[in-house]
Amino acid sequence: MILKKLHPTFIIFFSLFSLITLWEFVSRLGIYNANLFPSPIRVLEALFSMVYTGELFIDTYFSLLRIILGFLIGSLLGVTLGVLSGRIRLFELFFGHIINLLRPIPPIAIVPLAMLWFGIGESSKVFLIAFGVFFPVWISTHDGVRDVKKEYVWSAKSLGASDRQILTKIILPYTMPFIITGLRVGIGIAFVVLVASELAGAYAGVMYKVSISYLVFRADKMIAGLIWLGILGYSVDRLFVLSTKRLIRWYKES
Amino acid sequence: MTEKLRIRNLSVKYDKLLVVKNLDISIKDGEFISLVGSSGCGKSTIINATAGFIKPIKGNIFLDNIQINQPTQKIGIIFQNFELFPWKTVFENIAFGLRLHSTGEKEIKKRVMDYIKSMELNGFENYYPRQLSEGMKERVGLARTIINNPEVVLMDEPFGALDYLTKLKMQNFLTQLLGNKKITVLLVTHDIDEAIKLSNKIVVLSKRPARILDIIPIDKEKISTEDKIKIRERILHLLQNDG
Repeated sequence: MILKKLHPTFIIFFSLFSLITLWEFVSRLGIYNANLFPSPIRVLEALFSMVYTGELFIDTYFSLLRIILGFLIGSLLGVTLGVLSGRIRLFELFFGHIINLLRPIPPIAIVPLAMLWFGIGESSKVFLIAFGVFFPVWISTHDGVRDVKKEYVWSAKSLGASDRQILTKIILPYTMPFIITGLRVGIGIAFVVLVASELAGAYAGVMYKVSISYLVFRADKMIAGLIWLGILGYSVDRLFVLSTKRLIRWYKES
Repeated sequence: MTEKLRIRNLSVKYDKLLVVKNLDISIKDGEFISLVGSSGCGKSTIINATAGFIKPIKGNIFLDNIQINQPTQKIGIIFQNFELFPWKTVFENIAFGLRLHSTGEKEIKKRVMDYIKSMELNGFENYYPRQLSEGMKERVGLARTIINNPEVVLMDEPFGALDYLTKLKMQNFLTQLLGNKKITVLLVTHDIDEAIKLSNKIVVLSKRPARILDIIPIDKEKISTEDKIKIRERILHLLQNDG
């Protein structure tokens, strides 16, 4: 009853505070080795030291750069091919089955092949993220385009719309909620693939830092890196939701 | 009156099924013609073929004696469920056709607001279709089509989804609107009373494949209640004894 009257933000902060307090309490009990299970204060210290030395910024820069490039390439290809396969029957027949054949392969499964083809530099990571992002974006766009009612297209045609105007003023706006859902799923996958690709070999990156810290038994730095990765993922997702909200204001969320 | 729209020897297949067979209809300029027939007889297919949305297997459509093979701005359409664009506001739905042809923003605003006012949609211009009642959606659909000054308007059971009172109101609205504009109308309806009330001529269609059973002219100026009842009975008789 009391919880119901509280402000949602307060409840969120309270739940986080409770988790950290419990963590601190358990670590102080001394049941576990403090080097393997560091207290939240030690993790925070590790995070601050990474900020102080600047290494966190460099690693974040590389990780985000890979995400942005891979996401842009994967989503652009996904939207373009999704529109083509949704609109052109011949295109769907020609490419649809090939894409569907590749779709069940988890992007993580092709990490070794990507390393073999592109080396451990940036290209392999960008390729892997683009590969992971492409499929959810493609299928959402394809389904969205297929879902456009023929009466919308007919109405537009009778009002004088050209083929190009039908694409830009009918098909794409209608498909936008589908595309945005695909892109959001793509963001989640991009982070998963980023982790796998940085663990497989890198020179910098948040997950690379975690793997390096493992080699020197710095659990505090590992946890700090993982928390930072979580914050990054959450922030990117929130930013995406906020920036796309206006585009689908008309869409009634169920 | 000169001939405005001609449907000549039209045969249309839908999903390999012959839906319309050798149909001939001639509509004069400014005339209001209703197509009545039982459900599934192919009325909507006739509308879609006339608008140029689906290709007939045989026959032609002529507008002012010029054959048309694809949708044209001269023929406007109003669908049964209005098919407003859900991602556009009332204002933007009505302005859609004007924006396609680079009409100036000032003129668009003036013309759209005039329609919003005459359609009694004031205050709803920034609403999305899902926020409107069925009657309001109908009015937006009408405005979206009529604002582009079509010469012919095709209507596919536009009042089918409305309750009785809203339907009456919308029928009066339509009569007033079209009367001022002298637009030629081809209306598809299963409501015989609606057809008698609105039309100059009623085309009674057979069961699928649709062909003409009878064409009944109506003098809207002189028609009495008794005449209406007789016409109603005649249409019902034709439909019940068909096939």
